[in-house]
Amino acid sequence: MWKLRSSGLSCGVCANFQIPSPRCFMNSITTSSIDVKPKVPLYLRPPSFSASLSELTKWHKWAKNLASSVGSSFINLDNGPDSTLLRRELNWLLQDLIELQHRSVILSRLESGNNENPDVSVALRAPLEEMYCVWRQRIEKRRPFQYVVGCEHWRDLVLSVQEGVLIPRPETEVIIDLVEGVALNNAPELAQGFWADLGTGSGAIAIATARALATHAHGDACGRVIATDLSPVAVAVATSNVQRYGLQDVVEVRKGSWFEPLKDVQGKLAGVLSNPPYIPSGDISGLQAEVGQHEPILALDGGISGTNDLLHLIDGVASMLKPGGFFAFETNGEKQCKFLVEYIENEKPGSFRDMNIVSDFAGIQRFVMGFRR
Amino acid sequence: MNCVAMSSTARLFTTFNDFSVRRGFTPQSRCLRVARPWPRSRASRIVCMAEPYLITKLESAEKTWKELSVRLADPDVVSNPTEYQKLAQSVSELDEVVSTFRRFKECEKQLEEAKALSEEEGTDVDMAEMIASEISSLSGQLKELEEKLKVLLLPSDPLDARNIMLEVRAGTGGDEAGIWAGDLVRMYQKYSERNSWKSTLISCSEAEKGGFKTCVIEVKGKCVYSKLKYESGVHRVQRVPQTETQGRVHTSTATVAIMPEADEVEVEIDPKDIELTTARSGGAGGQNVNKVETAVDLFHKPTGIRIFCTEERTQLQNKSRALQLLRAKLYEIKVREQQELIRNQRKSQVGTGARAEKIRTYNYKDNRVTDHRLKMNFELTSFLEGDIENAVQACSAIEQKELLEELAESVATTAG
Repeated sequence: MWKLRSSGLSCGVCANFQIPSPRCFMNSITTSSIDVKPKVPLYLRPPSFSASLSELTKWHKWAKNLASSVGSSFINLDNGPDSTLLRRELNWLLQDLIELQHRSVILSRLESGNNENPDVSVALRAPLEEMYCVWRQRIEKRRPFQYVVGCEHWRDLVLSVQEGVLIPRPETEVIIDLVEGVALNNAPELAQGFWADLGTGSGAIAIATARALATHAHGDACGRVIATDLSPVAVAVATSNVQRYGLQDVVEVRKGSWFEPLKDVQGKLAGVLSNPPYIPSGDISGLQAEVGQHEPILALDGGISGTNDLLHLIDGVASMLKPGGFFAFETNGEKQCKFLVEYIENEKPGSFRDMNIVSDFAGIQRFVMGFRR
Repeated sequence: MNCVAMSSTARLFTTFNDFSVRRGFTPQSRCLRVARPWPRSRASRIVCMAEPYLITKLESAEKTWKELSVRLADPDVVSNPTEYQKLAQSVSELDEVVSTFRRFKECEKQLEEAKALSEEEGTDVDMAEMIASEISSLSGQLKELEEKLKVLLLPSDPLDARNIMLEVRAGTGGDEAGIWAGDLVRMYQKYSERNSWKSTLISCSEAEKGGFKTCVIEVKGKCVYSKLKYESGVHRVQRVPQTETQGRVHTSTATVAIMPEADEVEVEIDPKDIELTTARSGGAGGQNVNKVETAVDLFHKPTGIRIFCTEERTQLQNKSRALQLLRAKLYEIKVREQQELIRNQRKSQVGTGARAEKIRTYNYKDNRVTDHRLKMNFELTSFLEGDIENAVQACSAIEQKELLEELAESVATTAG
């Protein structure tokens, strides 16, 4: 339990925010997922707290100054966020904190520095003391913003995330564009098949894929998605996200390693998608603190070259897909993309067709995709 | 407000303008039967309501209103909510014209009767006085109704009901211009609050010493464009900057652009014309990085417009915002070209045309804002707190006056 600086705040409130070590999850592989209770994201908590506008303004000012004091120090340290990004996070934190009805008025008041009505009571989804705590955690401990608010906005979804689950990345949003634009566009019948999202984490890819399948099925029998993950926390969180989007009849979450829980659909899958761990083990200690010290290593570490899991997936995917089935995997960049394509051409000749490397919006080659012959 | 209905109203008015002018007197224009001529000395500024052209317009409006009201009762229309809403909108927009025209006709009739009475022989002095005062009061009312009708017949700008994108760009003056841009953004946010509009930050690039290099906010609410359209142009400030050590007054500028929102049908964007990239400063990107960098950079090749959208929480959402802003910008170019044409024809003071036009100077020392189009001054402190309504109304009044004069000229030329 880290020390609070003196500010007269009650410590009891912060006892809830002990940051678990990411490594502790490596040992809890055998723990059943029922033991993990997914946390409710801030924006979904009832607005049963309040603060006066002047108290809120005081907190906002303090938080903004704390963010501004960082400057470029995190960038220099480990390529972390700068003050502009931290101030943007603060705005989003406020959005989640303040209940919807009065949000735009309060937000514009805070921006404009309007001092009228200081005693007006503002409904909040968490006590203001908690906000002092969590913002300090953000800046001092580099706890990821998404864990602080308990959610990540991704594509057109809002996914609940917590310690033990990889935070979905913006790059990964493109995988769904590949599902729709390449797979379903060229082979519309795939929309009725079984798809798999391996290493689902929060369930991001699985949920977005299920929605894409429903759109493309045009009222015909819609396909299904099986999401797998080794981590009990991920299984619990993915399940809760699936439920929140009302997709429990379309998306099934299974616990297990890669293809093992999918023996019953071997050779029958219409599509296999994955964002597997792909960072070389040696790079992990050099990553920005938000990632390296807080996100689950299980979801990041891909072995010495970072390609252990990707190769495992390539080795197994041909036998999992039905003929004409589609696959797409995210990688660490150009080097890994080219390596995988070469591997497939040498080791799995004739297994696939129409293979392609696709770049992300930053222009980095990011995805390898193809169809089973 | 339903924009489609607005444009149908505009079309109705265009029809009136296209209406062929009937030369000579129609049997229906009762006031022309009256022996007294309208005083010609006022004709130079005010259009005579008796002009057949305008009476025809009003009667046509009444006829249309009756027809539309009948159609509203049609069971086929009632069962179709969108159709019903469109019709109901058109009817309600004509309501005021029709009811005012009816009051005008009633007033005319009463005035005629009073005049007829006054010409009767054998009325006593008291009665004659009463009739004279009745004539005077009715004439006054008739004049008021006449003015009101002229204004109601002015074509309304179909864009008035639209939401807008408001862009503030720092101009000359270095750091101080950036700070000034920030002050203007705040002023508009406060004005929005006063009008219960919703203002959302779409995209901004902060300036080093505070404020913005550019900032775009979306303003949504009732009749936003109709009020903010007069803000387009260059806003100049004269004050001692925060960064100034020797107390000298500097002049810097910021440019405001008001862009009505356009929908996808009005502005088509060819996917081949745009380049979309994101700035992930992480180098390796992907799992290596966790930064809230959902910003999207949209480049429109044919026009060279570059849009940077940063404020939404996902790339996908920033991409749609960027496209929305691009549509508004492309639409604004189209609209501005049309308005420049009109503006030059009309020699308008408050046209929403010229981007580079200096419209206001804000002088801190004298606590004064000077609007160069209105040639009016306002108190600076309250102005910057969002109290700009007086300036907005003054611009609106001038525009209305110009439109009325134009209407008068067009009638005079057609009649002549």
